[in-house]
Amino acid sequence: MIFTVFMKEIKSYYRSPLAYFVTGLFLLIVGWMFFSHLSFFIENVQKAPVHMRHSYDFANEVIIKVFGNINFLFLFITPVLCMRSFSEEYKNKTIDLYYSSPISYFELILGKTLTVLTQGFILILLTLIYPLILSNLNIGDSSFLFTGYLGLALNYASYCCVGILASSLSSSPVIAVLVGFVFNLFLWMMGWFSTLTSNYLVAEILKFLSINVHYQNFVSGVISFSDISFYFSLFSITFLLIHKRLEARFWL
Amino acid sequence: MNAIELKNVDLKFGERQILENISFKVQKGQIHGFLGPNGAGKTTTMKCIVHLLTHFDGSIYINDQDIKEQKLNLHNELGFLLEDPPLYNDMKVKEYLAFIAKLKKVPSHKISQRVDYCKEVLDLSEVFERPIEHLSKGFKQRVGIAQAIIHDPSIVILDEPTIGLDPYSVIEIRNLILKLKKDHTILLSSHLLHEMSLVCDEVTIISNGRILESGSIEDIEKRFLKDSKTYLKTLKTTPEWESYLKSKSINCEKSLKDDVYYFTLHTSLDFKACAEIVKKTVEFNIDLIAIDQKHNTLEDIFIKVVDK
Repeated sequence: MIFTVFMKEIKSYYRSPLAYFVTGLFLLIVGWMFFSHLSFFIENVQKAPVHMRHSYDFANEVIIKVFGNINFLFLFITPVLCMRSFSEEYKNKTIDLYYSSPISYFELILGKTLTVLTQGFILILLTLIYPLILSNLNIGDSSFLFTGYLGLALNYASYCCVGILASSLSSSPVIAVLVGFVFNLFLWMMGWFSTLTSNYLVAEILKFLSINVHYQNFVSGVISFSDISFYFSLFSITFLLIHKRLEARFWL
Repeated sequence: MNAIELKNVDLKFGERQILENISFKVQKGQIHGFLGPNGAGKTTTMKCIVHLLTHFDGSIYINDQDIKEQKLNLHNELGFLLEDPPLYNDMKVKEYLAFIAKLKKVPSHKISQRVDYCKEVLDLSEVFERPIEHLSKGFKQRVGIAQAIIHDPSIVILDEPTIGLDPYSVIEIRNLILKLKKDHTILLSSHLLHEMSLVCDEVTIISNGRILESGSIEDIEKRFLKDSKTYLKTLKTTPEWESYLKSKSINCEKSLKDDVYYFTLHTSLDFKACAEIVKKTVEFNIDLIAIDQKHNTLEDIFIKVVDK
């Protein structure tokens, strides 16, 4: 059943112009960002005295910045990719097909989530071209590339879950995009909110709830239990909320 | 045996009572019409039957199983089309039907067989490979009916399947419904009362969330037989003739137009009584032009019942 929903959704997505517009725009922006960071880095290295050149770290100056940019882009793109998940089903009354079929809510949510994850992971995979181009350069420790991509994938998955939750709340795709964006932005800015309070405990809680704090650890090459548990808690909570939303049919 | 049975179904949205003590039965193998004005509660009742609305009080039995207890098995028993057909416009008809079959857990070796069956029964060959968004309203409605029967349910629920269709498509859908009767029990709602009287064996009339009448069309018509009328047209009249007519029906109306007398008796007369009236016209020397009876049609009964 999960596969049936997944196949139907993914075919539907790649039949629409939205898929090619989003992919094209994403690659254009990421390519431009990569190019500008790279040229800025090369310019700085060339300008610097020879004995100072080793202080310019390629990973910090280019790769981590590009990861940051992709993460920021996902903040905008993910709600758009998620908007169709449930909003359109409500709008077209096709949700009744699922309600009247022997498919569990869990299978339905998982099928929809896997679709949006695949859409995003394809975008992430396409960015692998940049490390491949640079594979002949001496990057130093390339292990952070793996953790960086892992962090990016987990961050994207979190945005997806929140986006799908937003989509399950409204029958209007536009409202779903706006609500998804606001929810994700809120998760993003949690770390910034922590700087506004003098209470240590509150600040620490806000930091833990900030998606960016955990993401930064991955990009820096650190994989910790705390970060992974944060992501999986977020997935579980959003799954539970979507499940509850679908159960409450009388809202429709 | 009953295919569907509702017992004292109540439904409230907040303080608003939507359905009140709804009870009726749909017998197996029959086409049961569900009539009511807009906002009467037809679609809501149907949503309760297919378990899209779950927070109702009372009991609903499908093939003698309480739907609150045996929910998962009911997916196989029920197929429905409520209001607008639930279609994915970007899919082709063939692809859509195969997807619905998979969703309804039709065994994989039977999927193409069922899809072909729907294509044949609903005459979809012409549009089978076309995207749904390019179909006419009539064909979209047919695809909607196809998705309702793809898993071969014993009961099919159709909510206004002819709404917005041209008269030719209405006739086609009527014939389709009659074809479906062979293998399915059908609960059908529509505003086209004449159409309903042509296809339905039984009807239930609902208004303001309450059931007003339920039973076979014949039984309901019999119940409303007293409201039938007998019309007489004569060239002249006499006091004796009028008093004779009043003896047949207390409520007898007379009018004169273009030198023709029109008598309306608010009663239904059998053939014998009609023959007796004709004989009496000779006896009273009344020149009879015409005698006619008008029984209540389903439309008349519907209007009377809802007006009450």
